[in-house]
Amino acid sequence: MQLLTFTIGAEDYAIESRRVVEVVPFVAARPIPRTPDFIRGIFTHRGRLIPLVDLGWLLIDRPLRETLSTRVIVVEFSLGPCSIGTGDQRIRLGVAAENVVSLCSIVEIETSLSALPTPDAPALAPALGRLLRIGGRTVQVLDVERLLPVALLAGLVAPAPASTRDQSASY
Amino acid sequence: MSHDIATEDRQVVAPMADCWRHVGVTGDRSCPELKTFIHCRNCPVLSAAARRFFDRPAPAGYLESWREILEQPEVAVDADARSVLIFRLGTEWLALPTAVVVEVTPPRQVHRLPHRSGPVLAGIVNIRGQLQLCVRLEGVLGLDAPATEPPSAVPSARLLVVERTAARWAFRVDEVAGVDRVPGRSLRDVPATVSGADTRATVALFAWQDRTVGLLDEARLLDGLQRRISG
Repeated sequence: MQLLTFTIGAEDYAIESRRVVEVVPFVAARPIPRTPDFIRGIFTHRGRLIPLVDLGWLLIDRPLRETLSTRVIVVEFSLGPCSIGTGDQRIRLGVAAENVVSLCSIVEIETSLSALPTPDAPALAPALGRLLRIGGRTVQVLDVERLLPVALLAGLVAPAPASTRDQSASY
Repeated sequence: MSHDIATEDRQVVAPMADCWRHVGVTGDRSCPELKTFIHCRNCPVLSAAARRFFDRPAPAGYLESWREILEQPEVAVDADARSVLIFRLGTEWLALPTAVVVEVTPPRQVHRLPHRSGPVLAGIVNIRGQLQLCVRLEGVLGLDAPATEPPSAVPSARLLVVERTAARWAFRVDEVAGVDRVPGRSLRDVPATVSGADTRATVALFAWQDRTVGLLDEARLLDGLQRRISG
């Protein structure tokens, strides 16, 4: 398994690299009113509008430091046809994190945290995944598919109706 | 000033702040750690410096320029791109599908076969204990024979080993440029004057780094070879 490692605050985290489409600089996103703090907004990535999640706010209630190594990891996954009414569409999500500078390959998985209760953020518990020891550091692997509540994800990535362009033209 | 960098098994001590410029690969290469790491890019001192470099705010305008780059739609990946090995034979640049290439090795002694060696068959070569037939590709293709300098005189010369339908052939080329992916739309038809000659094995031409490369068809090239050797 290959992992893309990064930090949030002082701790090391990782995302499985098979979910990663691209790592891009931390660009500004257009904020969406009334969304949680950890949704930075929507930004344009390769001609698609995708939501940008701030892992600092999401995990430790603190915005990311904005340095050159603070980057957006663009991940792609499908939630299956039933959970979101978008068919089997692949969902792209931008995930911002600090020190996104290295990849590492590991073989075995050491500790599972899948049953970890998180009382103040119950929706986040399934995403916190596993703990690994990599090169003397303890790294927590995030499951990007479960990072956001399904309802929120559905609202952010729902496809625009086919007639959107016509409506805006008739204004 | 020195920086202690802990690696998994031991400490590497940088003798100065930007040691790679002074005693490393861009300096006088006197750093004793180069014996271990070969190149500064493998050394934890340089990786730590790179981390410090990235641990600063982005310069003005940098993120804005990236926002514009990221807004560009994705360019469709050419699904019919084919992977080819590009090599030079005399003055001709040619390419073979990478799938047929077994090995690229330094040239070695070709043992002539009495009464059999000729313009097409050069002899046999020993490739890691296996004797392979070595052909002259220029003879097969009807190209001008390259200058008859010994292989050692051309440092870039290589021996290519190719395989098709369990038959392996080796041939000498003057230079191997590497493997590249060629999109299907960049392939051009071979002019009739070229394909009409004895180079029917060339099926297409493509531009590669200011050069025109002839793409060889492995079936036409190697199947014909079988007949010419056994005939």
